[in-house]
Amino acid sequence: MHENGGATLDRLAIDAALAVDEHLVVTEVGEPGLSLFGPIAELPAPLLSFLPELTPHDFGLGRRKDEEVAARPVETTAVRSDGSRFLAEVSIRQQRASDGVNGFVCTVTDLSVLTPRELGLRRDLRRAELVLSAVTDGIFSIDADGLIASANPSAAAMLRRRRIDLLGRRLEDVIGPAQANGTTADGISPIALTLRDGVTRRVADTTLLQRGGSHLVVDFSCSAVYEGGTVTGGVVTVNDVTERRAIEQRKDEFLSVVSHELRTPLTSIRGSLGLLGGGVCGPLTPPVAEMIGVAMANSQRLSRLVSDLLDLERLATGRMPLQMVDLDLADLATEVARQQEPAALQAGVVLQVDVTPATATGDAHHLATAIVNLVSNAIKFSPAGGTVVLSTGCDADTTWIRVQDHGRGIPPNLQKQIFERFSQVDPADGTTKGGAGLGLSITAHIVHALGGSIDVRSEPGTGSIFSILLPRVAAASERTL
Amino acid sequence: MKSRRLIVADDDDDIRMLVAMSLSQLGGHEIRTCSTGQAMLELAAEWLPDAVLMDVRMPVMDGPTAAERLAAQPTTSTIPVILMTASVRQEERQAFAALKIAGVISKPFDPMTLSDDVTAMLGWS
Repeated sequence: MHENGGATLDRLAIDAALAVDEHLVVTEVGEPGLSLFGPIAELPAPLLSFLPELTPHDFGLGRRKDEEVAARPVETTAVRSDGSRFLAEVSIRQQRASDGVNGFVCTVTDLSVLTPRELGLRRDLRRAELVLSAVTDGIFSIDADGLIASANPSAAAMLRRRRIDLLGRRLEDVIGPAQANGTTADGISPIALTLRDGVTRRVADTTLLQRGGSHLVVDFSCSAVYEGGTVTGGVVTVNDVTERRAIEQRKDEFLSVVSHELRTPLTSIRGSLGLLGGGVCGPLTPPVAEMIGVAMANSQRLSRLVSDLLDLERLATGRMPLQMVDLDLADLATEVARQQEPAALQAGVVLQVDVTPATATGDAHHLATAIVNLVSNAIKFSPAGGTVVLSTGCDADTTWIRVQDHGRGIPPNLQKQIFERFSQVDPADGTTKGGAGLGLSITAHIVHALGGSIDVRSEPGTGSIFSILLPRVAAASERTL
Repeated sequence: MKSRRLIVADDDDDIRMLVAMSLSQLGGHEIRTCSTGQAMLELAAEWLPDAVLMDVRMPVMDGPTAAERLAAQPTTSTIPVILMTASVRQEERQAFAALKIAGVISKPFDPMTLSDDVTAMLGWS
């Protein structure tokens, strides 16, 4: 066929199949095979006389008996019956019987008839296919209507279905349930939204419905495919997070047991010291009272550290349950200031509250923790006689809470780093200021989990302003982030 | 302030002693102690205290189960219960909401204010 040198279609159509037994002997060649290799004098004939560069290894022979070799095409040199050689692509498919592999079908494509450009395109295409087959994420391409146009092997494996059975099905039918996959109140899935507006969306902790009815915990992202400026389809990448979630849960359980076990002896220590310090067990001399004060302060520091570590871990892995309600931030800030007043008084710092109406959707307990951390830091790092200002307010779409101090400030190179756990501006702060460097990290995690952001403006020598910015209206009434 | 009768149930000997000491010496209450939920139920049925202060995690029978059983018995159903917990898990706190309890005290607690906190939770004056 290739000798007529006709249209490209004709030239590309040369796919010859050879039937090969388990000893790599060709037993049968069809008509296309004869036109590709030329008249074959005698069958059976050893396969390697046609394809001398292949080895038994390419057929999965010599490997573990049951191993299945994927039909992965290889480029190799083929030999015609007249001894001339040509570039060919060979796909090997195992023929399996109940007792194992009993033969192969080799599909041979003549590549020598292709122009260098065609060969390059074919190799690029092949490479892209190989990459798609190799990735462990499930990748679906969908058409403009959301129907599956293609799926890579990982995608099919996640669904426990054959790739061919997925084509034309609606992807949204297997990613869900609707309340967990980010579907809006009016029933529009994130995939449909992306096909509509072209914006990439990511959805965490949803499920994939497998054949047989079981579920896989997955994250997925959906992005649009553009052709000529319009969205003609999309790509949905699915990541199996079942194992990761299980590990996170075990870690969470471990931490909560550890935290409980640490807090139990701390309760006895704190309780004994409290009764001793309170004079319940008899009057104290000033040095004894001072020593008890030291022990008490440190037992409190230790129990705070234990709960901070647990909180931080849960916030960082997104396992902190959040109760989202509408909040009056001015009230919340005023309440925090009231709680922090004794600490301010003790440090000789003036805590000034300057609130204007501000509402946002958030978790009251956690947001209060975030504000407490900022205020308590501000007090800690203020000089005696200094002023800390806690203020709230809002503009068109943002609500803010601001804590300003006139302390030593934070050098510019550390202003990002201070939000990382165990970070201190001055390594000596851990002992002199009594903190482990977790407060700002917890605060930042809380604010991010609530859909907000935190920033700091600071000048060494003049002080710092920390601002929590929250959207005025949050999307969901309750969620775990 | 009127003296009341309270049962303190906790499997940790030290904590049980500290809670009892705080409530008796600072609150002037009459205290009896035990270390399991089961023992608390038996003692409560016999002694009929004004309130029960009980740990969440105890062997034999945990605090929440004991609180439910206490409420299910006609003779003890009106005895208010306060749970004490060293857990900081919010899920656990949310589970307590389903129980008819007077309050939750977090461990570690301040023994100097414990009696006042209990009094406030129970609406005693």
